[in-house]
Amino acid sequence: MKVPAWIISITDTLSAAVGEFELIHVLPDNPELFSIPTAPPYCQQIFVWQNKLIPVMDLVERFGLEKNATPENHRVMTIFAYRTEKTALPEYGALSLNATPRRTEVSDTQACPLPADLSSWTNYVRCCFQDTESQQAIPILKLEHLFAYKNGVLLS
Amino acid sequence: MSVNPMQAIESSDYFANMAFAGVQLLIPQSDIYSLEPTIDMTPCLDTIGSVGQLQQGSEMRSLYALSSDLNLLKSCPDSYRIAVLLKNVNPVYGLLCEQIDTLTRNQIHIQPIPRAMHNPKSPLLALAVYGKEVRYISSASALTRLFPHD
Repeated sequence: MKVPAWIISITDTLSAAVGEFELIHVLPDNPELFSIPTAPPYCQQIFVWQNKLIPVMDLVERFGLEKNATPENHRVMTIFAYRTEKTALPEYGALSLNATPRRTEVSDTQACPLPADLSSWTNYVRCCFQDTESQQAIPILKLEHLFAYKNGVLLS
Repeated sequence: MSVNPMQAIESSDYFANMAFAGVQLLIPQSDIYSLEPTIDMTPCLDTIGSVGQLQQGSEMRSLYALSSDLNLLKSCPDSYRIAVLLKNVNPVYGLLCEQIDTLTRNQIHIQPIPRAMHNPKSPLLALAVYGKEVRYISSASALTRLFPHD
């Protein structure tokens, strides 16, 4: 059985994936960002979308990835939804991507181990698959852990 | 008097909007004791963290100035001309700012700080959407997290 997903380009050399319904909006223009000074360095910016505050997670900063060559004004702000519990209301977070997300379909036969250089992502990844197009190993993000947990503890 | 900061925010119909260094910081109006001009401030270098003191009756109130990233400044910028004395905290202290006005609760949309931005040491208790802008919300007691403690 194949399951729809979105492949998102994190850096020039690294992509990840999220579930079909976890990606909810791709902003056509870069939003006005506001800094929250006391927030962690990997998540200091926020913007207003539909009267909601959307935090922007910087995965390059968080996981010490190679800096992006793609200029800031060419990046694509994308909003994701997640739930910390099955019955909880959806919460939102954003990632600034290198390109517009690409839709794909994933089957169990594509499963592969998480690359060793992404070992620090273990707590933030559901599993990993090999993309048939790029042959890259693509981790499927556990968004609720990325945006709501730190060291395995739900942030309040 | 000690007041639960979140309770003060939730029950406050008015907020003092303090502006400094490009920051717009909202404090429940009930935490405001008085406004004083900084011309009355005695600069002091010997009190840790504060940029000056203000005589109020028989009491000296420490005055603090914050940067745009909410760090304590070592000296008071010339543009910080208003000292806002804050109450519901012991001892009473003052925060310096460039401008101050009042916002009513129905002018803003108060939202929690997103979990990913959580920092237990932050003086920020919530955020406010004001038009297309984001403003910070704190309280007199929460701001003391920024000050040096013995």
